[in-house]
Amino acid sequence: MLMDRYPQHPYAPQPNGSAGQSGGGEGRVLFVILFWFALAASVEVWWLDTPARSVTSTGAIFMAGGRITGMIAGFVLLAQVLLMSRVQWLESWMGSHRLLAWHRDLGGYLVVAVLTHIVLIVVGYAWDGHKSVLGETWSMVTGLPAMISATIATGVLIAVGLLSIRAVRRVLPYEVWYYLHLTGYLVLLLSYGHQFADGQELMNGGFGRWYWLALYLFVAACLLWGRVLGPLALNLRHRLRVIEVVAEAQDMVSIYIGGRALDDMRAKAGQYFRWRFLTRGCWWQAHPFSLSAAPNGQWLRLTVKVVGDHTADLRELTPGVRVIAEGPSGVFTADRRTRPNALLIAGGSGIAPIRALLEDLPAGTVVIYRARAAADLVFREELDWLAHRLGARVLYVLGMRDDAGPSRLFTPRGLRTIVPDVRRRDVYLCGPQGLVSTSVETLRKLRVPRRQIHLDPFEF
Amino acid sequence: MRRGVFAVIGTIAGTTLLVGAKLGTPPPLDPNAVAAAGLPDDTAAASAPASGSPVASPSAVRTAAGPAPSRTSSRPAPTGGATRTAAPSPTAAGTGLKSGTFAGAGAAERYGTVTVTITVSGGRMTGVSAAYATSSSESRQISNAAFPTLRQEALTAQSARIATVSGATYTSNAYKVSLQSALDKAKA
Repeated sequence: MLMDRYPQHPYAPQPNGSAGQSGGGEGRVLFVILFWFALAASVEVWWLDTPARSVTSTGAIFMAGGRITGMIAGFVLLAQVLLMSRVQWLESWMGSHRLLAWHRDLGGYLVVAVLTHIVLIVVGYAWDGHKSVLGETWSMVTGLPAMISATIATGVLIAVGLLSIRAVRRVLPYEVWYYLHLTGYLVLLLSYGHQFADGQELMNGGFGRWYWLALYLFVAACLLWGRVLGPLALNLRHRLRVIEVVAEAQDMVSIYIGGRALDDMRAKAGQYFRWRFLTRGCWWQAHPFSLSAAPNGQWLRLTVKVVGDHTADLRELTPGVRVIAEGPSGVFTADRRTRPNALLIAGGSGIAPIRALLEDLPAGTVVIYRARAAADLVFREELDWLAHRLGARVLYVLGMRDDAGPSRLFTPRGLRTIVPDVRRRDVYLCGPQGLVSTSVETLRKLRVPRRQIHLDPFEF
Repeated sequence: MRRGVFAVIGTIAGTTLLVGAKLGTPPPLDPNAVAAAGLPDDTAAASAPASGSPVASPSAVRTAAGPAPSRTSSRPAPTGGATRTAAPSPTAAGTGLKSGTFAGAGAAERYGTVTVTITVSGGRMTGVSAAYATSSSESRQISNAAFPTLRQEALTAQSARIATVSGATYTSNAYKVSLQSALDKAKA
């Protein structure tokens, strides 16, 4: 059952918080510092604009709170878009896991911040003007510039927020949810006017306005580059097409993709692309799949487990079909390790990136490949051949979860028997959630440092 | 979940601290303050405890908030004309207003100066006009949009105790100050 849950959808819910980590330490620290600094600067704009001792009435207290939360909300909205802009530098600084985790946490916070902003501002003006809250709301929405669009933006934001509640999201088909979620960009567009026309801190020029404008330009540039220009350049240069589709096992299929100048591609083993196959049924959806072989200048290969409509369609692809790729993404790469040696743990279709990664790792690498039965194993010959050539060791662990072999292996003692120097290795994990969490737990009991544990390239 | 709670609590605490640091007492010329001294309406009653002092001793608040040598400089204040001594006189409509046209003192706000001129006949304020001097075209736009509302409010209230217009807080405050000074002149 767990196997079936595994692959393809990167944004589907994950039951527990992500335990292990990948992603560069310095880049992450730098980003966190920049984030807090920019947030502080956004509030600073209010601070500089508000003379000392000028908050003198109850209404003014509410208004001041409303302005601060407004600045925070505006900033977080921009951060939300930036986090999902798919620019390479951000992804390599943070890792896509963490970007998603931030996006999810900040999303809920954003809704709360916007609602607080609205309530405080309305109550503040109503209080000082001795008006009813409803009357004040009405006069604001109809009387101030750009307030109609801001009201719509609030509605969209709340809707997007509600749809992102896990229970709701699970009910929706992934694509439907995804395209609905994209309407979040409307919030940015529709609230832009409100921020600059009604924002006490922004409408009168000076530092605040320039700062805010710079933030907007920066985020827009990242978005344009990460989502449009970057992919466009990549696809114009390489012009990818399907070369061949090969069945690897009963429900696993490999797609070989060729194109121009593939040896210039900066992709590394362990990374993934978002693939869009231009056929009648598939063109409108892009899915992330890892490379299942290190890029070799001749072709790229992805290996997919057939679990849904889309993956079933992929089986029917014919050579020559055009492919639009977006990437490469992910920090599940050999150059992220902190130790020379590595242990790779794969389960189900999680073998795809692990198989690619093996090519980039030195002699002495150990691969643990977990499957229910020998018939479920893929890449067996390739793995044996690579192991022979590279001096690596591949262990196939078969059976149900409670069988003697698997259940003994994933205990501290079992793992240490097989890999005595596990603490001095970097560990790469990719597979079903159950396997990953059991392994991480075992590794932590063995006191393998967190920075040596790398989780699969995308969240699923 | 726990991170979310921390974030919300952090925001509340941070915002409270920031707003708290900007708290002050209304300067004496502010019409709201005059009203507060005379008839304690809900605005004044609620704002005073929030700044940590009883209504009765506004001076205590000022000292508690730290030395405030230039308390009027940060607030809209008349650049000449009406003085503090004129403020305590009642501003009730129709009492003691001489007929004629009276220009209030120009009240400087953050982005410009508002000058309100009133026309009084038969003891009532019958006309209000406002001029705005600024170098920012956007501020002028905002102020010009707010003036009709403020004028209407002033004519209805027959005093400077009028509501702040949303989106034009600075202008509204300066307007009230200048209007008050014009009313004071009409009484003198």
